Amino acid sequence: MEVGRRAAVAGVYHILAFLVVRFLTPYPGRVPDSIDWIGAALVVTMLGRIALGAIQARRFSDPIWRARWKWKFRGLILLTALFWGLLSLSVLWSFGVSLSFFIVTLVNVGVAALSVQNLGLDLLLVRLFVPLIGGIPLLGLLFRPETGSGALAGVLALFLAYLLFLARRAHQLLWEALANRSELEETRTKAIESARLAAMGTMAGGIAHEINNPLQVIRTYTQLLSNPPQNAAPDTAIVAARIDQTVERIAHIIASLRAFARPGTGDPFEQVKVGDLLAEVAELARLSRPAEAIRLELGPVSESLTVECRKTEIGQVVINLLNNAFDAVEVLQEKWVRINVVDCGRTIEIEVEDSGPGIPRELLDKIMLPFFTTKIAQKGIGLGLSISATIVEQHGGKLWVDTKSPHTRFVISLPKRQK
Amino acid sequence: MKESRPILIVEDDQDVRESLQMALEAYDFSVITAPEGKSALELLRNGLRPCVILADVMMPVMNGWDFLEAKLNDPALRDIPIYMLSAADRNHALADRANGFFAKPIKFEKLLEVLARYCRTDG
Repeated sequence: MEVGRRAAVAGVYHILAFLVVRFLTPYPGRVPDSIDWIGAALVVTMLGRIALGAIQARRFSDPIWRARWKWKFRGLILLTALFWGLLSLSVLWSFGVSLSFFIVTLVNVGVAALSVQNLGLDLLLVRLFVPLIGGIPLLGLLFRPETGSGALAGVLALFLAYLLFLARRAHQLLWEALANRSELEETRTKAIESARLAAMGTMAGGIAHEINNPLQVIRTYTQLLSNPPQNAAPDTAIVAARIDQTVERIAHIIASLRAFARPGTGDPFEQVKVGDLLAEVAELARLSRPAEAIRLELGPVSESLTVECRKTEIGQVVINLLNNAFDAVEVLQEKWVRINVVDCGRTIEIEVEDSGPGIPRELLDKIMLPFFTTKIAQKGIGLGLSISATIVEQHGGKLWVDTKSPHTRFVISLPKRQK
Repeated sequence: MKESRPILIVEDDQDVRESLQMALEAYDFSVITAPEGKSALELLRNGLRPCVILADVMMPVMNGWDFLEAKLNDPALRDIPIYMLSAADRNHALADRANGFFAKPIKFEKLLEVLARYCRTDG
């Protein structure tokens, strides 16, 4: 996880800062014994940051939350790092730190000011409280530089205040995580449901066509049976057999529709033959676009290749990618969509490639975001890819765009076995 | 003796094509079929003059609306009556330029009524 990694890096950085302060300070004669307390405070702060990072990393994996907070969150991390960098530098420099501390205080006030929009009032007060506590002894230091203990008091006060802030923030995050879990789960379920319904909506036209055609066949034959022409009465056995075949055709359409049109969120994980899954999905995709001259190819898949998954959900992800591909190639001269499967040992990759020229570089970051779409309103609401990515992530896999391909190629990577 | 001018059915679904052909032939109509618009247009340009055309809308290669447009733009074919058949909807700018529209599954009596208007049978 990106945030987890950042938190770990920040932790290592703090340990290094502590070691530097503890052992390499260039003015050993002036370092008071209580410097260990500063080191201890650094370590505690570092642990707090790692814990925070872990909590935030969990939330960061949720695409809706991620889309909303990504940049603000990165900005906050950057400013926090800057704050700690300046603080450590000032500690390292010496204890005559008035100017650098003053800068640190300004930075922290800046952080607080920038966070006004994101933080609640109480959190903002804590934020402002930090530089205030640290700032008062510093102000004293500015006017009475000979009082070295004033600087030390300032450092300790700052740490304490920051710990207070961390505790408050951790408490808030934990509380939110607990309170929002069910709400978030509900939102996610609803989003998956909307995306599924939207996908079914785009397929409905094609499927109506596909059912009305065999109904037409049945009606024609029943007409022949109920009002037989006087001169040429039809062979009832042949006509009945054809009606039966046509009923079978409708039953088949409904069966494949039912397999992937229902919600699959609560399904258990099961061993699924990849070849069977993709053949069924390809069949349904073909049904939904009956009259379009788009070539849909399914590459070779080993009969024995299985993957542990929620079949309906992964089927929906592939259908969603196929729908996108169909929409994309509709306007092109060359129209083909290809599904390929690569066995990577412990994982499998399902590639959905189309004759399009690839996703423009400037859109690559955005396409997985909820509600981002380049389609016209009737064709999509922009939830398909973000929900697909969530479903694949819930399977411990990943959905990405292979930018090395000259064509548009989406890849679903899935572990063969769930942990 | 059957009426010399046949009905042209343009339909990509083989089952629908075959069933309509079988039924209409049983009612003594002469039927010629094409699997999509482009090949139907070729038949017409090679001299086929059906009494009426029944054209599906959603078809590969050349769909029903493009076929209708091409037919309307060809002075030699413009006057051949055409009815559109569709399993989906009839929303299209050209919908009113056809002689009529049948939603699948078609009421067969209605179809026979229309066909009787344009085509004679021996029966």
